[in-house]
Amino acid sequence: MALTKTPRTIVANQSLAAAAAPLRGAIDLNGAQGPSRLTIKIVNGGTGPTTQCTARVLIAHKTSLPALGAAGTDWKTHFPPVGPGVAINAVGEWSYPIGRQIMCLEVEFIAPTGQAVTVEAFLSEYTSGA
Amino acid sequence: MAILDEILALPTELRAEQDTQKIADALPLRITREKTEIGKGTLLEVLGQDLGNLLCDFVDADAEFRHVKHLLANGWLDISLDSVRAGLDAIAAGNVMAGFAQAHADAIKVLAERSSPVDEFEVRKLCWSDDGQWLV
Repeated sequence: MALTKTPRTIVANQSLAAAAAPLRGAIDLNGAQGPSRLTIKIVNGGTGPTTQCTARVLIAHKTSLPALGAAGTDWKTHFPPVGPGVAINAVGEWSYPIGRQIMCLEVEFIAPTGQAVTVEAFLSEYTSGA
Repeated sequence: MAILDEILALPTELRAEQDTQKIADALPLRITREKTEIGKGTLLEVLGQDLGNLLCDFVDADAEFRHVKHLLANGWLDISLDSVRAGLDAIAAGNVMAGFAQAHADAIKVLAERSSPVDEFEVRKLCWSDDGQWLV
C-alpha cells in the first residue's frame, strides 16, 4: 500500500486581534492511520502585546468531531498552553507529535491584549500506508 | 509625577507615532538607590584631598558622629541610607564645616544612585488598552 500523507490546516495563518474571542480550529483524525505532526506558530508585531497570546492543544475522545470549544466535557488538554511572550517581533514555534490513537484534535489560541498577533496551526497527517 | 502623566506631557507628534520605545526613550531616566558603602578613601577621591581631609576630621571630632566615624574608617558607611544622606545635607546646610556645600554633599550621594531608562513594556501597558486602542 502506498504511503499517503496529507497536509491539514487547523488554523490558517491569520491575524488575531487584541482581546478577540478565542480562535479555535479542529480536525477529525478518526480516519487517519497516524501518527501525525502538529506545528503551531505565534508571531508578535512591531509593537508587542501587553499580555501574550497562548496556544493550547486539545483532543476529544469522540468518534466524530465535536463542536469547537474550550477544555471541558468534550475537549481535553493534550499539551498545556504555550506562548511567545510579549517581546517585540517575538516568534514562538512549537512542534508536537500527535499519536495514532488520537481521535479528534483541536488547537485553541487565546487572544493577546494590547496588540494583534499572527497565528497558525498545521498538521502533517499520516493518512494511510503499509 | 506618574509615568502616565509624563507620557501625556510629551509632544503630541511623538505620541501620535504610537511608538512605545520612542516614548520610553523620551522619558527622564529613573533614579534608584543601591547600597553603597564608602570609606575615607572615597571621600578624598570625590572631594579632593583638602576638603576630604576636613570632612574626615570633622566626623572624627564631632561627638554627634562618634559611631559614624567607625563606619567611615572601616569603609562601611552606606550612603544609600536616608539618614546618612540627610546627615550630609545637614552638614552642608548648617555651614558647620567650612567649604562643604550642597554640591559636595550631592557629589557623595550620587555614588549610591543608579539611573535606568523607563522600561518600554511599562509604557506599552499604559499606552494600549486591552483591545488594542491607543490611549495617549
